[in-house]
Amino acid sequence: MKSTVSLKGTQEGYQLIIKSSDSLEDAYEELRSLTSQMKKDAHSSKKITFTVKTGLRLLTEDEKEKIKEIVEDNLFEISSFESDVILMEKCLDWHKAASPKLEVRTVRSGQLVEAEGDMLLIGVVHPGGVVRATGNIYIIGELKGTAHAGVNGRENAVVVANFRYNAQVRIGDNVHIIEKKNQQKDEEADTTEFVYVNDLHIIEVSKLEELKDIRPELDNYVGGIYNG
Amino acid sequence: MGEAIVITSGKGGVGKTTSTANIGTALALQGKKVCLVDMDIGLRNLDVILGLENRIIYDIIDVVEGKVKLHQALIKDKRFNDQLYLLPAAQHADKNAINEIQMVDMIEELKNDFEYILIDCPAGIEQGFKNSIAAADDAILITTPEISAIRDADRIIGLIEQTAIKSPQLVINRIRKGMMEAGDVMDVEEITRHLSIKLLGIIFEDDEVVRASNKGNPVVLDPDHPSSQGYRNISRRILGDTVPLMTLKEEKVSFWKKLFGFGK
Repeated sequence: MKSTVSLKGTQEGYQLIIKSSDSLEDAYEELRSLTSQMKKDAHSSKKITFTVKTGLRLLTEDEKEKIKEIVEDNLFEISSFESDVILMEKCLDWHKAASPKLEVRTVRSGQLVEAEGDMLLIGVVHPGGVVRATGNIYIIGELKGTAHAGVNGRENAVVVANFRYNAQVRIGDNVHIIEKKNQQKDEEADTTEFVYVNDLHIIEVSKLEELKDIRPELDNYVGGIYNG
Repeated sequence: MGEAIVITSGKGGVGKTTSTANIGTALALQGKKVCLVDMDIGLRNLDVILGLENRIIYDIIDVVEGKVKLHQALIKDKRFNDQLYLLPAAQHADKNAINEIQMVDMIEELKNDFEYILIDCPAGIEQGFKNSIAAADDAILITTPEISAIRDADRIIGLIEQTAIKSPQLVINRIRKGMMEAGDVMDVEEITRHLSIKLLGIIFEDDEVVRASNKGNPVVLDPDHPSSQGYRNISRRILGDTVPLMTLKEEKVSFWKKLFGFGK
């Protein structure tokens, strides 16, 4: 007998693996016989939860319901369905949310550049120009205008830039004015820093080295996708 | 088919009208057929600087309203042999008396008869500005070394970039050599780098510009003045020649030479 469904025990619990190359009808059939066999063998009255792994197959809600119907009773429960694939649509949404928007341009006085999520700007923000993002803002170049991160109130957003010139940084509703007195003389010094809102809800500038300690989540940003 | 160039700045008083008159005259001196269009409706000046004030019979609004044909409103500058014409602005109307579509139609008509059409844009970014850039193929941006003029120029570049006009070109006007050398104002290179557009030319501050304009003779007619040379260089660059930029240093040398020349 070919096995379309296999049962596997792992550290995280039991897994029901449904081979994606076989028909779903066969899988239902096998699940029925497998679970009825298991129910016979079950001794403990403790509830057992399964994760259903569907490999390269995406199940519709109806199909998930059907599998639940077959497997679940007072002893067995399905905690989640996991698949190795996701819908294109979901993938694009995730990609959009997880990848910073790249802008290579000069933002001139009176211009506004906006982004959903993070923004990476390569160029110069002139005085009177505004860059705005719902996430973080990273600037490679010069900031002489206004950078507004966490526009929708996300206070854990940061702005990373070389704060060498007079500028303004906003995070959520907080405003910070960057004042540099000798703009001409300072030009050689690299002053890449970041602005964030601290635990006391006060906006603050800090050295780049501290970014990893203050916002550790930044460097393994994966977008938090739920698989299945 | 002619080329329409708008001359604009954002800020007032930096020398748009003077530059329009002088660049236009310089192009005419090079043998090109040029039409200057004054878009500063309600506050017209271009006719005054060209010394054509008393010869205005019809103006741009008369053309738009269909009272006269376009060629009837054009004033010929008699100093040039059928090379330079002016389409004067109206003084009794305001900038909203004309819209972008009418403007495009009018400039398209002018392009059939002229090689260069220079549009003198009013200060500001309202309707007058929109009309002026609507019909232009290229833009010349005038600024002075003052920070306020540079800031406005930056804003204008941003607005122009959103239109079909190719990258605007920069003219830095009214440069005072002493202040620039002393570092009191941004120098030519800094301004050009900050605005990040192509530099078309520089004009030194020169009392003669005002003196000549007051007489109704654009300064460019007299080749002996540094400002005149600046405008002539700009016109040659517009025509595609490669002309080296006048430098502060060189200017200073020739200035001393001039002094010694007088001394002897």
